[in-house]
Amino acid sequence: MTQKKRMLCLIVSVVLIASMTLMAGCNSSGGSSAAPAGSSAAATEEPAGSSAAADAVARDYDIGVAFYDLNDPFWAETANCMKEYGEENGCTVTIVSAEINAAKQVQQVEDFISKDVDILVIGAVDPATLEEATKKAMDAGIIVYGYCFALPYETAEIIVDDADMGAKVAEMAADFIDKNLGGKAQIGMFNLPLYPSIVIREEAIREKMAELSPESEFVMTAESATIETGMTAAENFLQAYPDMKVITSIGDGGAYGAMQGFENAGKAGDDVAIYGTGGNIENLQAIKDGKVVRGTVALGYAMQRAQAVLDTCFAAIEGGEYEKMATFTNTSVTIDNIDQYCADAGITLE
Amino acid sequence: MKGFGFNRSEILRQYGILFVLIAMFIIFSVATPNFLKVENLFNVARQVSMMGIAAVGMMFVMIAGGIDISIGSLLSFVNVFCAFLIVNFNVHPLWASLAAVAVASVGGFLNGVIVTQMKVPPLISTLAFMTIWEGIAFLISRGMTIFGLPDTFRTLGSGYVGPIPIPVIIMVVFLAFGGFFLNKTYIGRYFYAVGGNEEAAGLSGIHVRKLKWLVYTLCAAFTAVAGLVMLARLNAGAATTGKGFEFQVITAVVLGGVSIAGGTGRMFGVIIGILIMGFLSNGMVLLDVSEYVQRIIQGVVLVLAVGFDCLSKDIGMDKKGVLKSE
Repeated sequence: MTQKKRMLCLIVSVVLIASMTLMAGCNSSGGSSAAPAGSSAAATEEPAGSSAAADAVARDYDIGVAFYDLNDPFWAETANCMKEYGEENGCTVTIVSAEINAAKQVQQVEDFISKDVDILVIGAVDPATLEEATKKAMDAGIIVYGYCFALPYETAEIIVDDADMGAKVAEMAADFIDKNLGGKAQIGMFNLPLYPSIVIREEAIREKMAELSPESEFVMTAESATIETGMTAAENFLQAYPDMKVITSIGDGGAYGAMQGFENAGKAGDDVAIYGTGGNIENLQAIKDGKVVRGTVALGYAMQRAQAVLDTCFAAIEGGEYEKMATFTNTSVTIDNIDQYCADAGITLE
Repeated sequence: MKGFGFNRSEILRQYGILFVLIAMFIIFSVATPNFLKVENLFNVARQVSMMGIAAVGMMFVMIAGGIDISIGSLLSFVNVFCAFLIVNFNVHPLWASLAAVAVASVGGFLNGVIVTQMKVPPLISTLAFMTIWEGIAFLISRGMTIFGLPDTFRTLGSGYVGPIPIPVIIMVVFLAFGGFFLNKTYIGRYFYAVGGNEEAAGLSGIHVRKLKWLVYTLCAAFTAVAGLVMLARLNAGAATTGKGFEFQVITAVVLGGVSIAGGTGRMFGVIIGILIMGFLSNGMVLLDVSEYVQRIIQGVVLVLAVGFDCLSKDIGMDKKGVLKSE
């Protein structure tokens, strides 16, 4: 190896090590302060009741969080809050993302078992694939918590009522159509056909719409869960149906993107409405600002969800009382109740 | 036909991919009345503008015999980084944009250095950068969407000059620059020489290493511009924005006739490749084709288009691989 090459290898190694150190530093100390402003204002807001955490007895638990997909703000926000709340309680919280890959998640859960964590919170990609891993975790004395989806073996769970969530989206949309569009509208639908629980949500939207707004019609459907795909799909919908006024989405990401699509097309008028699910901060802000995202079905604020999950796990490990099977409360949020919802959830919008 | 100085096989070889686009265009025009509207054509042009801008950089890299699969993650990084500077630190959008392009270019340059100096295969080096950019994007955003960009910044993504969307104008400028650079400058011609035969290019006096640094730097810089246009269009920064973007761009470039092995490719073909990608996606949505079927059709069209192109080239060769017209 020539002198030049040796020097180059040395420089590259130093740069890589330095950047890894820097990133590690950012992650551990600057993470919360470096959160994006739009979301961080609310994300770092301390909801009512969380002050108890400060007074809580320091717990030295090792918590593993294996989530469905941290690319999705719903999961990312909850994970961030779990880390924050867990660390406030003196715990070590390690978060991993399966990126919707069931095999990867099984491996991650196995890794957590090897790490000998005390608590394992799993947002399952496919609960059936976790049968062996969750049994092994339970046998090892780990507290296993099923988040959003029930697990084959678990200590406790909190799940989403997708049918109710879909029905609530349809109720908001039908109400808007009734009051603003004479009870009849061409509707666009954003779905995610690969995920069974989301399909239940989509079907519930369609069924409830047929019941509440029989003259309305779903004229187009596209797969969308992100802002980028939502925007592109909405733009294409408007080409096929220039008079389309309503979009219902299985998630808030697509709904937010659809809003950009309508705004880019200059069609974001008072007679347009877009509804999603999740209660993402940016969607709540859009609702408050009177934009065409006019409603969402929220599952409560991320910090509240994180506290509920970890408090249950703490109770289970410390021999206290806890709820074994819980369901998220689906709350329809529109301009009419957004202030109240945010106040209850401890969210501060601009 | 020979009387005019060209033959059918030569036309097929040169313009096969164009016939595919025309056929697709006719089918969608007949099948859905909205497809051919000017508004929809501009809509498609606006949707492919980010792909078009990035495709110019990717084309440079591939002609020079490399590949860069980090551009999707880089686009996400630029999206998040620029939004973060603007929203959290109140940096003026212009300076934030320049900073994003500068950081991306440094990353691209490092890619080139790693490929040339450490002899790491481009696929591996850019794969590493793919995960690095992705990791930084998530580190900055913590997986959350960054919103609250100033309205002035949105003009870049949703504004018009006359009837033409600004992103389309930016794309056309980049495509024109790419075409000019490749065909009319000696550095552009060197890209082909290096991609065609690196050793021979080196022996003929071309500084191969510096040229490779340049192509990776340009590719990253162009991708950064695409990322800024995307950010302005979405009006929000998210770490997932560029997911799969690299495959769209590489597909468009390969569809346009740029060889994976390097050394060949024309801007005209890449433009056709970009348009095929855009019209195919748009046309199927207008026809309300199911998502599952869309995926199948996209795959089939890709195989048919590239296969047709390869066959048409084969038709023009004799058994020894020499052009018949020669």
